[in-house]
Amino acid sequence: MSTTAALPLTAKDYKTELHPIWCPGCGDFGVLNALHRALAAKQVAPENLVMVSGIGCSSRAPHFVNAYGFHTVHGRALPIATGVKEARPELEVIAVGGDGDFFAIGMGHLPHAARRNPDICCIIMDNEIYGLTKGQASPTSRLQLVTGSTPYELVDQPVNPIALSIVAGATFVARGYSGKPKELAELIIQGLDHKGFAVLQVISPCVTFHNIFEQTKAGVHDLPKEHNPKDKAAAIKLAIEGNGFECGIFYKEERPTLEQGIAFQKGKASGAPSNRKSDMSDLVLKVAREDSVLVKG
Amino acid sequence: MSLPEVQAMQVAAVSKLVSGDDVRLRIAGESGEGVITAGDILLKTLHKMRRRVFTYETYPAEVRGGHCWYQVRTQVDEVLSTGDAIDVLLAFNQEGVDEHFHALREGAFLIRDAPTNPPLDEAPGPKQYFDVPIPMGELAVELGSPKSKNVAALGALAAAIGMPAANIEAAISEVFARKGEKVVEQNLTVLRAARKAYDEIPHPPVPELKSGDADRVVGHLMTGNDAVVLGAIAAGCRFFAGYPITPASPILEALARELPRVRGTFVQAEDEIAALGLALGASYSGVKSMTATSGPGFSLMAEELGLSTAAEIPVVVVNAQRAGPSTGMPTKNEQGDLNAMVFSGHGDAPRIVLAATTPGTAFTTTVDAFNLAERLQMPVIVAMDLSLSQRWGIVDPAAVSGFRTENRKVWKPEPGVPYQRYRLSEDGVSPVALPGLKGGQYVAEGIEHDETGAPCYTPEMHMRMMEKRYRKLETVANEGDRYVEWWGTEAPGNLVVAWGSARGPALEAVQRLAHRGIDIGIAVPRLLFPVPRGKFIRAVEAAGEVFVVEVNYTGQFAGLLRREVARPIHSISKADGQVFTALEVAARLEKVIR
Repeated sequence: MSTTAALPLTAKDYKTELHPIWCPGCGDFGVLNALHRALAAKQVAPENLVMVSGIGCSSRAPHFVNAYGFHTVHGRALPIATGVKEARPELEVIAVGGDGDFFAIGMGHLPHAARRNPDICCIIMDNEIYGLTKGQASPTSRLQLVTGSTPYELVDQPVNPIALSIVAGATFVARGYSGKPKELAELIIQGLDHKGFAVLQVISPCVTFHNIFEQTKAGVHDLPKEHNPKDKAAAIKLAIEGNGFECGIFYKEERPTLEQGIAFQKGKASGAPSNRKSDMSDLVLKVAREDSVLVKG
Repeated sequence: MSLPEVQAMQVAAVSKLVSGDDVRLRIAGESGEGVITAGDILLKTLHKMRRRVFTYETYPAEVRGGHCWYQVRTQVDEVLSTGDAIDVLLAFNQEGVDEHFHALREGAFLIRDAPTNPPLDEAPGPKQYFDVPIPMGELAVELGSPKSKNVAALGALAAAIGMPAANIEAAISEVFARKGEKVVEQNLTVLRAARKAYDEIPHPPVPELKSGDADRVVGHLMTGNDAVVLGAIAAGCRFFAGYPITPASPILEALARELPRVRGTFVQAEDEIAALGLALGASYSGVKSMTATSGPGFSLMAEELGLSTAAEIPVVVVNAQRAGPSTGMPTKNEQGDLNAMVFSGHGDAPRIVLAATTPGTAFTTTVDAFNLAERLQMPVIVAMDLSLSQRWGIVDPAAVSGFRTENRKVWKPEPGVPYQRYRLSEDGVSPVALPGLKGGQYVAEGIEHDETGAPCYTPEMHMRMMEKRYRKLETVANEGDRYVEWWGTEAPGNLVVAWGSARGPALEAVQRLAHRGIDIGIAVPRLLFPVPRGKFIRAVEAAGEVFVVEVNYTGQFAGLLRREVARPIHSISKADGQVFTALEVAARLEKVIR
């Protein structure tokens, strides 16, 4: 990661001129604030940072960060972010979005990102509601919740984002709270520092359609001090038995990243013989011209 | 029939076979009996003879068991279609005899495994044929190589039609090289024994099958899918993501193998949505990217194709079509996805659709697709179809060494000028900043946006951005003639238009009719959308009658053409899972032309 040594960047340098569209008091402001702080702490060069998002209130975040961004379609931030990272491993890649993005429409991608382990920091702003569409139950909404889509109470069991991510193979799994931006910034820094797929679930309440600020504020507490994040079974137990308000790093392990895996495959392929089944394989090295490549992967 | 009569018939049959320069061979058997391998050996042999080939194979969707067959038509010059009646049938079992006897021409060869019975007298098929029972399976077992039944069949075939021993033996050595010297030797022994078995039965004299001129360019032998792979790498593609699906999986497997050899990146995605997403992410960051799929996967990509259009990110999507709708007939041929390729997804989302016609043009078309995607910063779809993806053909060495590539216009910092990613321009193209370039930070947007990329919903901006995106199509449509192949008179009274794999049989049919003095010509666009302007559309407007030949139920390209010109257009289409034969096309044309 290149840094600007001469003039240290401050949190302000990571802001943009666009003002967030979020409702006053939205939890996402706290997440954005924490992200700006974390980026300043790490002195990430804005031109080397790519933020990829899905669709939803929180997915607007790339517009509010001085970085390259890609505001994509609903649910697909992870495959697209993985494409960026694997094509250009030297870039710092952050995927952002909400609970709908990652645990409903894009749920099919999260476990695959987790098992592949690309070095991507995935920040999930979880408000337990569909806010942009004005208040329907989301996959993390709790049982019995009454919303526009659940007038007779929600009967679907909520997803457990932490347990799910650990079991799927994510190598860094943590939970933070938008109301504590300083602690959240620290978790984001650790997520960015982590070499591998980092899932950071952030409780980020919606003031307009599902205001749980009071309960959250009252309920949020740190994970037990004695918890060892390397203990996978203990991490899963905490995730299953908790009430969703425990904050801190549940799980962390070191495992080769997808970039390392792909580099390994390239190593094995270099000098591999052509496949005699077709003339194509013989010609591949001949037609692979340097000048036709825009950016070397 | 008396013996002299039979002999005379046989002599006539063989002489027609080898002097006629147009040999249609079909191999039929049970899946697992080596039908496809036999076909591969056969076409490698013919390639070594500098002959041209056109292959067609069909197999069941099930992995084990089921009847399959492989057809090779060979001529000294370019072969356009599968051909009509069969000259030689190699039947590995009774089903092979019974299922295909009807397809034989009068006086054809039936080379069958000895335990099988000849077809019943009343079976529909040729009245006279040369029956050649060879104990293929038995020979293979006796010689200690039970899997070589297919090679025994080839031995008899080579002997019957006069294929030089040196060529077929070299082909066998190549195909089995990976399995070691012992396997090669065993197969050569079986081949020679079968040749001897044929020689020992009374048979007509065997003149040598003509080879191409010694000085002719041999060309590169590969399948349509292989040519796409080679074209992609030539064009500068260094990232591929895909999900397995018939008949596009060979592209995925070949790129899994070949891309890392050129330091490219391959990712097997969890589904087709992820596949296109991965490719878009890679291309956004500046690495030319592609995905390949078939109909069901293509349907899943609809939303992200719109993202590619709106965010103006180049990407190439190969759609190796198969028979739809839904799961349809996964191992059968169709060109039924044209409407989906042109119109899939919501909103007005322009994209370019190109269609390869032969393995040779599959290489060129893939290079063209990358060049257009890069130059115009938008999605380009390469239409293939099952028969074209799987069939073998020749890629011209001149094409492989003489291609030209284009890269997208990259933003260069100008002092004091803030970067605007979606700056309005005459041709709709604006320079793009790539991550890593200082000062180029912007957000690529699927939401409607202003010139900077910031979300913007004003009526004026939406109109301007729509116009910007559609102006790119103008550029392609106006240079469309460079993607059209012509045959026949300049302004023909009867104009045939064909696309994709329908080109071969349509061209052959047109040539036959023209030969009979009918005023007819053919135009084959490799650019399907936008429809090429200029000479192409003028010819469509001016012709007395216009026919569109394609393999789908509703005549989809005919429909596209009707949007462009106010004139009647005849649709010659079918959707039976098969390719057209030239005979079929000619008959359908003649119904109107008379």
